[in-house]
Amino acid sequence: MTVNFVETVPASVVASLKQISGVRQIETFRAVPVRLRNGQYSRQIGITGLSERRDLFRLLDKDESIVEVPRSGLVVSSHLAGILHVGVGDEITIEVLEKERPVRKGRVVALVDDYSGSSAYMHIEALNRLMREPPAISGAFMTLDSLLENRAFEELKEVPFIGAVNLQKAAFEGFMESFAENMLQFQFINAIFACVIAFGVVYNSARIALSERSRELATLRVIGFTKGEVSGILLGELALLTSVAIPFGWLIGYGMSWGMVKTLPTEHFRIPLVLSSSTYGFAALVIASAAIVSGLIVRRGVDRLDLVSVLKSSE
Amino acid sequence: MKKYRKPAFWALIGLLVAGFVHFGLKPKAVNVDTMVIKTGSLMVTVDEDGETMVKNPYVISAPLAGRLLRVTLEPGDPVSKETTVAEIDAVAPGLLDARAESEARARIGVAEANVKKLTTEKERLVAEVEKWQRYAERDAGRLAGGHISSPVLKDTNHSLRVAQINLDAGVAAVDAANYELELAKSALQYSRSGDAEQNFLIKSPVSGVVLQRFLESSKIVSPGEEILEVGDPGDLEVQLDVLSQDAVKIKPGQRMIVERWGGDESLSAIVRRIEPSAFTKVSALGIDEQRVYVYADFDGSVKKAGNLGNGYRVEGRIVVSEKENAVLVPEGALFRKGDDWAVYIVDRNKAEIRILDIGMNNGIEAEVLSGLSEGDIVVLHPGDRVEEGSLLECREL
Repeated sequence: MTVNFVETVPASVVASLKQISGVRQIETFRAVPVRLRNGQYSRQIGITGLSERRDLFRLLDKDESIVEVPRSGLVVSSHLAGILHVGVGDEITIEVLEKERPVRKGRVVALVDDYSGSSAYMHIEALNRLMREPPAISGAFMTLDSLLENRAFEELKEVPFIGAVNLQKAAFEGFMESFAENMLQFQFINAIFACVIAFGVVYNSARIALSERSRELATLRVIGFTKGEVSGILLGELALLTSVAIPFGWLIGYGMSWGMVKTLPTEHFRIPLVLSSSTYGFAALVIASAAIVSGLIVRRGVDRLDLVSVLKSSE
Repeated sequence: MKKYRKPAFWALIGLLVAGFVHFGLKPKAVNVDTMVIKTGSLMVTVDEDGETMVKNPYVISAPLAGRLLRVTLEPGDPVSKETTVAEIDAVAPGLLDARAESEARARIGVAEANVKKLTTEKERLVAEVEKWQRYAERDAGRLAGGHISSPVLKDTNHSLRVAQINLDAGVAAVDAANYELELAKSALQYSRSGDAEQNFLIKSPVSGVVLQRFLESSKIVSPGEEILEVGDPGDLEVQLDVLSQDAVKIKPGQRMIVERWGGDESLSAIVRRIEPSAFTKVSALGIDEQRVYVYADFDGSVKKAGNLGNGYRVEGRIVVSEKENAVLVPEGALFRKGDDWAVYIVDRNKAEIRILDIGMNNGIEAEVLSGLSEGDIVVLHPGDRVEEGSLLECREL
């Protein structure tokens, strides 16, 4: 969980925080409101100073590898870097918006991919040096012993300088119940429609193939081929076409997903593209099932081909 | 060969569909970070901010009132024992004298007048007593003769007694007035200018360096006013204040790691004393705390920090318990299962719960007494998605 103080307090308070019942891990941070400026581009954001040993709050780059916060310099989210037109190694002006309001310079040393907001991070000691202040913190990340959770909350409520306590679990559940739940329901209905349409398309092509070739197929039957052999021709073609089509379908599906992900993001929300083998597998399975069912229905059509009318047809 | 074409074809299709089923329906693996269990040393420390202090500082103050001459020594100047560090001119200034003298003379006049008044009053009281003595004798005789009743005699005796008491008070008052007259006379004597004397020299009690200078310019000082503080800045100790709940874990002789003093290396000190009494301090978070001072002596490592002075800020980490060769588990892997601590270990890409027995815990790692061995792989921060038997996609940290 995250604990935020009413204002910046000396870093030594961490010893007092450790005394709260059930506190396990504790990692402190400092937040400073600033305006980052690069020439004509600027943005008002918060710089979060993180302590060296971090297990509870980690920065990840686009490959989900952990980005370590270096002793000096800024780590900036790639979205923000884009807005400010800066890259790794560039210098940037930091206008602090609290206390003495000093104006300093910093260097971007790494980029991270976070999915909400625009943020910048520094080593907490580097941030304290930037502010020309002795070590101070604005809050802490903590883990609690679940058996002592309630007691810990009671004690935290008693501390005058603690302004806010955010439980990651509660925030996550809240998000799941509201936003995520809605989105997933929406997607579920979309998926059902997609399946129905897919089925329709496959069945349709099978039926048309049957109708177009009914005369040839009937002729084959008259000549002496068995029902199995004749349906085998039709169904074989269907199976082959479907198998070849599936990889193309995967490609198109990937393209569409990629396009959606590119157009959805706002400054506050970015969704990464995550496709696993089960996604492709499931899509293929739907089409394959549609093909199999259509095939079985069409097979009955083949069996009931009107041989007599074929024989009777004029040449 | 032609005969096998059709069955081969269908076999291939069958394989493809089987593949789709497998990939489409298999359960998704949970992405987790893992860590390998190692053995190592575990240290539990009490960390607090503190400062350095000169072990034996000496504050030099004025022993008497007078005019302190300008102090030329500055903080950082060396002093040796018995050198003069300050001078006080004991000659009182003339202006103050004249006023004090005339005040004193006036007070003598008042005292003399008072004595006169009270002596006169005393005479009157003596006369009163004599009067009532005569009445008392007369009435005693009258009573014996039967001319008056006994209550009348009683009244007379009573009046005599009152008169005597008044006389005693009167005598005492005269005595007091005489005493005050004496006092006024002696006050006049003391406010007179004395003879010219030598300046009073204040010497340093020890060798060392001037640590602080409280007065620089020449001024009139009163006895006890602080002038300089001297001491040996090479003889430093560390003072920390710790919470009383932490103080009970600290013992003299424990090691203290001193960091954040300004240099890159850490220094070390040995705890010498934990004060028995705690004091109340309001923490920066607004809560009252009971804190205890802990003092530690630097060991030879302080020579690396040549510039460390008096009152410099440091961070002290007192090692309250240590263990070598402990099986260590990262704190982030632990979670509660009932009343016990447990972890998920990775067994052939599947999660398996293990109940553990935990010993020391320093908030980052914990000592495993039973349940895990070196080489086991545990899941960090399993959260809600990992359960017994979950399929895992591991990334080792």
